[in-house]
Order: sequence, then C-alpha cells, then structure tokens
Amino acid sequence: MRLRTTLISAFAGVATIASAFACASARADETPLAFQGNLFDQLPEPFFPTMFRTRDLDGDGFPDLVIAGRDPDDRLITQRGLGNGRFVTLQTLAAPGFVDWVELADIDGDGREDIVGAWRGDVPRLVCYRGLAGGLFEEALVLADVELGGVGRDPQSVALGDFDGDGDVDVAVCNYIGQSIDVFSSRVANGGGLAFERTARVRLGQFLGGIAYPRLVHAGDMDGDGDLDLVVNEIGASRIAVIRNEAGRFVAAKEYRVPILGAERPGIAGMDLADIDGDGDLDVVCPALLLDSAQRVLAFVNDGTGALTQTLDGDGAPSGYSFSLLLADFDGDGDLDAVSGAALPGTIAIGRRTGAGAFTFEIDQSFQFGSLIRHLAAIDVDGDCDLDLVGIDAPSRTVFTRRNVTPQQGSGCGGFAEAQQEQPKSLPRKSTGKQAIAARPTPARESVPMADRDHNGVVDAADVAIWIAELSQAVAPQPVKAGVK
Amino acid sequence: MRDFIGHLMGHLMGHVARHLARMPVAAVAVALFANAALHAQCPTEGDCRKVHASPGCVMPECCSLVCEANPLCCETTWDDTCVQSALDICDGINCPATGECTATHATPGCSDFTCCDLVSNFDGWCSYAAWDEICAREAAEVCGVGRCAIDATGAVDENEPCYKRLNDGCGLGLDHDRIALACGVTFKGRITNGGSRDLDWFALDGVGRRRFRVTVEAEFPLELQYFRGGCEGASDTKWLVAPNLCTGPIAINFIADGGTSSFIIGSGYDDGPLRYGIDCDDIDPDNPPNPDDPPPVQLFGVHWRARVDCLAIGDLDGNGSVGPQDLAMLLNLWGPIPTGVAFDPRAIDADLDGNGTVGAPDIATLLSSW
Repeated sequence: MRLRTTLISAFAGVATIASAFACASARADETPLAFQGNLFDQLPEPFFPTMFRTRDLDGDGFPDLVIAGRDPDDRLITQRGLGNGRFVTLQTLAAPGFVDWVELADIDGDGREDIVGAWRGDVPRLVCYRGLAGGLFEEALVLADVELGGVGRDPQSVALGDFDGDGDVDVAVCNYIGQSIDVFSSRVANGGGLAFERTARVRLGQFLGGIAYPRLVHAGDMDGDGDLDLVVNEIGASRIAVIRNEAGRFVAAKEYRVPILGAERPGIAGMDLADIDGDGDLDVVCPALLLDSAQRVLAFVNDGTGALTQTLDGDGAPSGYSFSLLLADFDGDGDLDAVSGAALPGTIAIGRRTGAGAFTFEIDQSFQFGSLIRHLAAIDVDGDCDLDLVGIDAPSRTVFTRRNVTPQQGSGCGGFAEAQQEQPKSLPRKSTGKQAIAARPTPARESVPMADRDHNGVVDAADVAIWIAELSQAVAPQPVKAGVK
Repeated sequence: MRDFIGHLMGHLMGHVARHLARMPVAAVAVALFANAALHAQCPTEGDCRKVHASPGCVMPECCSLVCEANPLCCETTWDDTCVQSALDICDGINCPATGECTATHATPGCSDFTCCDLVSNFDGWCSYAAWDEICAREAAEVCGVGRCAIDATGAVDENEPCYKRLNDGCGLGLDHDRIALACGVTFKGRITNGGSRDLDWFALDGVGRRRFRVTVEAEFPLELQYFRGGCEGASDTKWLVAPNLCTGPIAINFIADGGTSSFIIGSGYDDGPLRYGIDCDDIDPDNPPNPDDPPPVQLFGVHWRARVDCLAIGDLDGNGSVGPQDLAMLLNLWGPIPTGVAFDPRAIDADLDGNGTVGAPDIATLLSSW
C-alpha cells in the first residue's frame, strides 16, 4: 500500500499540485505578479515542439527538459537547464512519427526515470526511452504497436500511473483519430523485461454524428477512492470525459459538455487538473477559446465523487485564441494563479487569483510572443524558491523562460538579480517595451480558415481549436506589439 | 471476372474523388483526365511500385490511373517511369497488398482485393496507414456477407430526408429533436453517413425506471446505444451493441433510467462509428448535386426497422407477463452486479431498482408488477 501511495503521488503530478497549492483566499494586500522579459532558446529546424516535461535529468540541481514535437526529421530532444533560464541540447533521440506528448516515470524499476511517449505515424507505437546515467536515454524500445498489444489510431498523448494497483507503472494512451483511450498494464515479460498488455479500450463520444477528437489524457484521483482515474478533453465534442477507475479497470466515460459562455460554446484545446476551490479534490480547468468575445479560462468543479457539477469561468488571454493554461502559485500566497497561452498572435497572460472562492484573475502581465503558445509550465529554473514560467512557442521552435520576480509571501525566498535579457533575432514577434494593459488596444486576432473540422454540422470555436491543435508548421508571422504592466 | 470488374467500376470514381484531395497537382490533373472505367489491361501481375517486365500491375485502380497517364505502362513494360507515376498517383491505394484481411499487420491493405477494397471504402485508414485490429475485425464482419434487404412494410417512417439531420438528438453541434417513442409501434428509417454521420435518436424520457424491448434490424453495420442525460451537462452511454452485419433482428430487453435518456440507432462497430460508405442518394432541392460529382456510394443498404415494446419492469424474459420464471431468473442473479466490466444489455437485467445489487427490493418490485 505504501508503494502504491507513493506511485500515485509521484505520477499524478496534478494531485501533488492540489495538495501543495490548495486554494486559500487571496490576500487583499498581495502585489501584482512580476516576471522578467523572455529568455529563449531555439530548437533545431524543422522541429515543431508540442510540449515538454521537466526533471533534473543530470543531477546538477537544475531542471532539464524532455521536449516532444512534430519533426519531419524524426527527433525527440532533451535539453539541459543551465540554471539561469536557458537550456542547451543534451541529447537527440530518434522518434519516427510525430510525438505530441511525453511523460517521465521509472517504468522498468531500475531506479531511473524513463521517457514514455507514442509515435503517431501510420503505424502508431507506444515507446519507452530507458533512462541511463548522466541524464541520457537509450533509443526507443517499442512497448506496443499495431500488432503488439494493439495501439489505437493517432495516439496524441499519454498518462502514467499505477492504474491497477499492482505497484508498477501503467500507461493510458489517448487516440485522437481512434476516439478512444487505451490502457496498457505493465506485465513482466519472459526474461523479466518490459511488457505491456492492453487491458482497456474506452470509446469516447460514440453518440456523436461528428468526431470527438480527444487530445489530452491526464490521470488523477477524481473520486477520492485512492486510485487514479482518467480525464480527457474532447476538442471536437466540446466535452470533458471522466473515466473512473473501478477496481483497476476502466470501462466507460462520463462526458460533460462545455457550457455556452456568452453566446457561444468555447473550444477547449487544453486541460489540466487542479484543486481550484480548496476542497481537497481535483477540478478540471481549460482554456476557453472563443470567437466572438474575450478569451476565458473555464473550470469544471468536482463535487468530490468525480462528478463535475458546476462550471466557473474567469478572464483569459486578452488577445489571440486561447490554447494553453497553467495554474500555479507564483506569489507564494497559497492560491493558484493562472497563465493563459494563446495563438495568433501568440499571447501570454499572467493572472493573479483574486477573491476567496472565486475563479477570477487580475491580469498583471500580458505580452505577445510568437504565434502559438502550445505549452506552459511553472518551474523554479534558478533555484530561488519561486516558480518561474517556462513555455513553448511552437512555430518559432522556441523554449522561453520568464523568471519570477514577484515578492514571495510566506516562503522566505527572495528575488534574484535581474538576468541579462536577450531579444530573439529570428522570432516572428518580440516585446517592444512596457505599456499599461488598460491603455493598450487589444491586438487584432489573426484570421484562421473556418471549416467544420469535427463534422458536427456547425462551424464554431471547436473547429478553430482543432485547426490550431493540428498545426505542425509555422504560420505566416504578423507584426504585433507587446506590453508589460 | 466480369463481376470483379463491375465491382471495381462501381467504386472507382469514389476512390478517385477521395484520392484527389491528397494528390499533388500533377497527379490531380492525371486523375481528372482518367476515365471512370478500368484500363483494359488492368489489373495484371506485378507490384505497381516495383519495376517488372510485364505491362500493367496488380492494383486495379493504380494500374488504371498510371496507364491512363502513360499508356506504355500497360502496353510494353512497367518501367521506372511507371513506378514513379505509381508512387506519385497511387498514394493510399493499397488493394490488394500483402497480409491476410482478417489478420492484423503493420502495412496498409490486404491480399483479398474485394475485401480490401470494401473495407478501405468505408475505413480509409486501412489502406492508407496500417491494417490494424479494427480493419481486421471489419473485414471479418463484412467481407463475403453480401447485402441484405429488410421488409419495413407498414412501419411508421422517421420522416427524415437523408440529406437532413432532424432527429439526431445531442449528436451534433446544434441540438436536434428525437423520435417520440410509441409502445408497440414499428418504425422505419434510413441511416447515411459522410460529413456528419446520421443517427436516429428515440426519446425514452420518463419518471422512474421502465423496461423496454427494442427489436431492430438493419441493412448496414448496426450500432445501438443507450444514452443517459441531456445535451448539456453530464451524459454517458450506458451500453453499445454492434451486432454482425445482416444477421437478422436483434432484440434487446433493457431498463431505462428515470429522467432524460435516449435509444440511438446508427451505423458502426464495437470499435467505432461507420463514417463513410453509405452516401445519401436523395436529391436535396436546396443543394442539388453537381453533374461532375461522383455518384453516391452505398456499400450497404441504408434501411432499418425497429419495434419498441414497453414491458413491465419485472418482465425479465420479455414474454409479456411477469411470472415465476421471471422470479427464478432474478433469484439466479442474486447479489452485486460486477463492476469493472462493460454493461451488456443482452444479459438479463434483474437489478430493477438500479442500486447495483440484485436483492430483496428487486423482488418487491418484481412482485408489484406480477
């Protein structure tokens, strides 16, 4: 049981977030969140980064990155953190077929974390890059494919956890075209090697005339029964699916439709789990992409049984199409602040949580960067005890860092010396100075081709979310200005 | 052989239309000038993507497309030029190919042309990416089955032109109506797909748990679902059943929960929906077909027939009365309902109060409907 508990907390990062950053009432005297300008590193062409995971791979005390991406040159890239917000390539691994998502866990039980991901190509494969010493990894080992275990069509994301409670790491795979979640349970192969058996395939949106297009799967204990459930965002269906773990088995999904905000139903390209109301359970938060009004962030509130009974929404990115969302406590006051990432133009909006029990955010900083902020993470890149912002602009192949200089409440950690700020030379967008948000006109959103991509008979925000999520190359840059409050 | 060619001719234009979307411009030009009929020399022996001495190649559609562009490929030899054309034009055309059609393999297509072509026509993944387990199951279900016709004489029509979506419930972006249920009535309708696939939803809304028996027969791969909830908020699909093609009527005796719920008729399999291969052939007066459009493809029949019977909740065997045999069935199922397995409505449902256990309260409920 102890091992099981450890695994749950280790792999359900969201659960850790929930306990560590349980929401409390925002303090009236808290000061605006403040971040320095971008530090950035560009990845090699034609890599199109989609997300990353952070670990101290090489044991130097600074977080490193494992970066997934869509790369015609078939690469998966790890980067070593320099401790100042910059990253340099540590290793390039072969990844035939796009890899949209990776997770890290010790799936072979050797004490070192391994990379688990899925190759999305015509012959999809679930793979593992076994960890070696010094932060390096072996080339990929195929855990399951079309013939071996039966991987579904277009696996776009994975989630790890001990789903069946047997003490080892299992894998859930989200099949975008297959509209299903596959669960692969770890088994001991002949000779003691790695072996995985598919133990569940749960269809999603089977009642739809259109296509559900599930994109992300996350693991977390939604119903408080001590095991890991699965949560999926279905872009095409505009729904969040909760698949409860019943004695180690996954059978069926409960699906929750995204509510209409204003006069339209938002598209939900992303999703995360966090305890937004401080009641000790995991809620579901999404960036809400809207076409006719300002972008929002949306929360589905868990009643503790895994049922999502209420929705809340707050301010999102002030421009662009909302795509990514990060909740983290950037000022150490015990509540979760929100960073929204948007596309076209690439926009990052840093919002400070305001008000006890409310899901509202004061946007303290907003700036344009690149074209598509696909992924955001809160990491203490410099060891100063606060959370910095690290993200990806996919079309420009850029990893950017914004170091946190917000005075921290209660942690005893101070700020740090201002870092040398560099401006990108080949990026499509760059910051142009400080300007009050209220006085700055909202940059025009760039137009996107409109079509019924989910085949549900309606052209709406979900179709735009799908189009952005499926981008795999740079879009034409447009000049935009940025401001910092 | 004549049937073989006729089959090919019937589907070639549909294939061409699909392939046009992903062809390079030059290839599109070639295809546009291609005749609908197969080239006289196609198919022959030899891999279309490898040089061989004989003219023509084994893939009928690819062979025809290449030979229409370059007749020498079907007159002299299948040389480098023909191979290059095949590589340019025949992307996604992989029938026939290596591998048994009912077995999974990591390459696209399979060895039985007729089966490969049929499956690929409604599931393009199979001839474009890999012949995965879904392709293999589809092949096992539909290949060699042929077509079946159902008699729906006297049934109440759903009154939905196949170019419209009128009773699709929560299946589309905008909410639609559902067919109002009527006990003891037989309904009929059609299912088509392409774009938004057609679904026919029956409203089962009501107070408390009620037992129904639906008896459904269809000319296409049938997918039956029981959906709980409304279009907004929470919903789930309690069960989905996909009987094999053309195996006659299937009767499902099930309990509907109180509140809003629906019974859904659609086309599909256990693995997923059938999204292509049953085109609508009605003429939409507001959007008539372009004369250049390929003819509608209907790999299967489009009709369904469904009778709905409202039973007493204690009528476990569905014989129209609640009696000792129903009580015996209930007692035989005494105890908790297994969790962690998919609910199968083809099994007897004796959990009359829906609390997850067959027990004393269920006996009381059964006796009350004796």
